[in-house]
Amino acid sequence: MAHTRQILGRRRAAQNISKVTGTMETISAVRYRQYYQQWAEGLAFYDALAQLAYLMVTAEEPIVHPLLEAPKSTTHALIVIGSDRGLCGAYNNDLFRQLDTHIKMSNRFGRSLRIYAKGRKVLSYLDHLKIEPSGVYEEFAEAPSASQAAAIGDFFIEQYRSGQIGRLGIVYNRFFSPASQKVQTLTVLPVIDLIDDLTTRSQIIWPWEQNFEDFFVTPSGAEIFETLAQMIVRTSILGCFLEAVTSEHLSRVVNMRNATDNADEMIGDLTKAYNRARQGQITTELLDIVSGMNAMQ
Amino acid sequence: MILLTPKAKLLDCRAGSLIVPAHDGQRGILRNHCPMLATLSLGLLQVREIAGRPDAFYILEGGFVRVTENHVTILAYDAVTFEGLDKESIEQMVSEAQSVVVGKEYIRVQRREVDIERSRLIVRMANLAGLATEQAGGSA
Repeated sequence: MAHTRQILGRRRAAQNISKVTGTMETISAVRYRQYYQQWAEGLAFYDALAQLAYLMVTAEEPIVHPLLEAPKSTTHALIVIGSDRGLCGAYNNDLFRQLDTHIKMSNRFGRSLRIYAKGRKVLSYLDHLKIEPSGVYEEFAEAPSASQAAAIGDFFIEQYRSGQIGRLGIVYNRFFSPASQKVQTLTVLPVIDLIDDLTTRSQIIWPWEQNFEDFFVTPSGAEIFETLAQMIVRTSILGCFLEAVTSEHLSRVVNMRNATDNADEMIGDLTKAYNRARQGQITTELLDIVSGMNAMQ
Repeated sequence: MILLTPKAKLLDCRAGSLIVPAHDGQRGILRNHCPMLATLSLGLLQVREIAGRPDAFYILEGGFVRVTENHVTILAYDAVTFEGLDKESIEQMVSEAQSVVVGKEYIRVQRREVDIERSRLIVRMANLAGLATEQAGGSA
């Protein structure tokens, strides 16, 4: 049987772990609630955006626009959104597996890949793979502001137009609902793929609301599409960052809750073991005394 | 009418009239407006005659307005507004904007740390909302 002092030491360690994981859970739970609210309120925006996009691409006179043309380049750009800190379960690992697929497949099909990373875990993984990221987003901690997301979006639109990249994908943990988050790659450019995704993802569009009445458009259709495409790209990038960070915090809450529960269980077991060991020690000492007394008589 | 941004649904109400900052100037929208889709530019959105609450004002920078069958949907990246802010932060925002407008913050304007056009809009929004009028008189 282990010595009582060893058991005490082990129990203290378990108590410390429980304290740390409990605190992390609380912090992440608060953040999660904030982000979740933003996400939930933003749903209506993306639905309305999807409606608009649908209206534009199904117009009677098809709109001709550079962003609707087939990609000119075989270079793919990839934004990978991971976390800065660990202790969030499989959150980053699932992401890395998807990233591996991208690297493998683009090698096989002879596409070159440019990776833009967010999060220290992603950077260290890229370092491990000996891949130099083309860009790192460090100017914001978790989710970008509207103007920062706009800057990122404009940068990639410009690259797409000048033919430097043919596709832009975002690898991130998509937040479908509090019960389901999954790693996926969202194609942002060419913009037609993104419109497709937007319109299929919005679930609360009333299908018959899309009345095909003529309406007054100002400025011209092409100009509106330009602004719309820009808005879709910018806000989708913002949405991805937001969803990724929401998933991260939720995943951390779940994992830390499990860790705290395990630690608490371990503390209970160790307390039991400690009590038993102590009792055993007392019994042995008593026996020693009693047998000593008996020997004296 | 509904005002939406990626992070929040800012307003969802019935209103008597709207003035939106369209790309080519301000547009008033009343009942039975023709169906319309327009882009927005930097400017002030005024929502008037809202049932059960005072008029609302928002500074928008780009976005879309869509009008269908007396439903107006406005999509914006982000909006600056006094709604939901406490009195002190509104006052601070307005007084800072006023000092920019009257030229006290010339150096910061030159360095583009603050936007003079935006500050003008904030002052106008405060005047329209009937806030901080005594401050406006003081610094003018």
